[in-house]
Formats: sequence, structure tokens, C-alpha cells
Amino acid sequence: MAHEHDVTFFRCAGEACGAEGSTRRGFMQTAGCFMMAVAALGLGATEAAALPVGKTSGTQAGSELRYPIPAGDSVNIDHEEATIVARYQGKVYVFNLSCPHQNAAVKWLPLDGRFQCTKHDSKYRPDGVYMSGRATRNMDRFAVRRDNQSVVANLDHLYQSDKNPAEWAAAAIAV
Amino acid sequence: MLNHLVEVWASIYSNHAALRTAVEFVHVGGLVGGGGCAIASDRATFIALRQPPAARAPHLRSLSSVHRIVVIGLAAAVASGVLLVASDLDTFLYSKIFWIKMGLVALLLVNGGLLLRAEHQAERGHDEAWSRLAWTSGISLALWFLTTLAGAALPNIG
Repeated sequence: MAHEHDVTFFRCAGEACGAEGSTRRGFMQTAGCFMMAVAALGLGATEAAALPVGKTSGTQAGSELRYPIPAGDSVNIDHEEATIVARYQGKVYVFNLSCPHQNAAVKWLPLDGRFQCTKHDSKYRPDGVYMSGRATRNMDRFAVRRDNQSVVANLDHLYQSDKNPAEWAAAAIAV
Repeated sequence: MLNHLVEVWASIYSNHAALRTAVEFVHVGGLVGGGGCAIASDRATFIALRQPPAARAPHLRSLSSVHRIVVIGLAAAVASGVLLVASDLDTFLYSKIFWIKMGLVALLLVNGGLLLRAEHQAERGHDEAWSRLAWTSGISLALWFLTTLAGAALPNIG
């Protein structure tokens, strides 16, 4: 798939865009080709799209935050409480929004189906497992329990995968 | 459609280190070039104010030659800034520091307009315009540094 995009882009750049690069028409062609290449990349990426991203807000009671269990696989960000509620492959997790490396916010890339730190670009799977980058552990997970149709996160128990591996692994509810 | 373009851009931006470097370079470079020239000319305004009115004309000439560089620097910073915001729209839109920075940039533009007006009045020989020029230069100096501070805080503080 990536090769097809590359070919489309370079053919465009070579035959149409490059010929009149110094004129306004050439510039417009170059810009048009670039937009087409971007759109093509986007369409290709959509095929591999994983989880949609949304916003959520929790109800706090003491040290507990209650969220509705997401209806389907998705990533839901609570900017107010700096948490992420993710439903992925039959499990629901509540993550800390900060990257474990230097506490910068992580962002969700819907077309790539992964989290990425906004500062040093550490990459994580939807279940918070570290993929690459400067971070040295997985995304931190809050202890969670199920209460009817809610997932309840305990803000006093944020588990780090290197210090609390068992608790970290158990910090999920099955749905 | 716009939402999809933003997602595509975020994906491309996040997957290409060279692209991230280029966009960030243009953003910081615009700030260094435009802001640096603005700060130097603000300082020169204060120095010119110590001169007798008749000796200030060369400063006005040098001031008007700086505007183009400042505008180009600002344009580069704004254009790359739009790309940076689009790469992580969700985080930026919810960031208080981001909106403070945008407010500072807006003030910088308004103050730049006032500075330009005072400069034109000073060129026409209105001596009282120099006082406004001094004020707007001082504010400009403060705003460039505050905008830089907000930019530095942005990745670290929500």
C-alpha cells in the first residue's frame, strides 16, 4: 500500500508538477499534487484505522472517578482529570494522560491506532504497552473495578509497569 | 473533511521526524528572526530617545526597514504554528497555556500596529509620537519574551 502511494506521488511530481515549477501554474499543480498525495495517504490509512477517539468526563467521588463503559472499542480522553479511558479487545483501561518519560501529554493517532507522546514521540499500543521511543515503561494505568455499566478508577493507585508489574497487568476490566 | 485532513496531517507529522524537525525549525526560526530583529529595534528606539530629536531620523529609517523581516518571521511562525496545532488539535484546544499564548500573539499584532502608527507620526515630525513609540517598544519587548515563555511552557504545563 505504501508503495502505491509513493508511486502516485512521484509520478505526479515528475510529470506534471516539476515541469513548470517556477510559474504560478506550476505551483498550483505542485500544491494540487501534494494535496492529492496527502488525501491518498489518508485514504490508505483509513483502511487500517483502529479506534475512534472521543471525549469523556468522569464523576468523582472521593478518590474514585467513575466513567461509563465505552460502547465499543474506542479511546476517550478526559482533559479535566487528565485520564484516558480506552476499550480495546474486550478490556477497558484507564490511563494517566501523561507520558511516563517526562509527563508530557500523550495524543491518540486514530489513523495509526496508537498513542504517541507529544514531546519525545514515545509510542504506545492502545492497551498502553510501550512500542518505541525514549520512555522506558508502558503507560501508567489506574486501578479499576467494574460497577454495573461503569468503570471506576482509583486515583490513589496509579500503577507503573516496571515497579508494579502484576498490579499494572491486572488494572483492566473485561467487557 | 477538515477533521479527516487534520487526522491525516497528525499521522504524517507523527511518523516523520524530518518533517517535525522542519516545522519546528520554521516556528522557532521565525521567532528568532522576527522577534530578534524586533527586540533589537525596540532597544535601538530606547537608545534613540536619549538623542536630541534632530538626531533620531536615522533610527526611524532603520526601524522601517526592520518591519518586513518581523512580518516575515511572524508569518513563518504563524504558518508553522498552524501545522503544529493541527498535529495535536485535541491537546492544544484544551490547553490554557495555548490560549494564553494566542492572546499574547494577538496583543503583539495589535501593539505592532500601534507601534507602526507612532513611527509614521514621528516621521511626520510629531514629537509627542516618540513617547508612544517608547511605550509600544517597551510593550513589544515584554510581549516577545512572554510569548516565548508561553511557547516554552506549552509542552510542559497543561
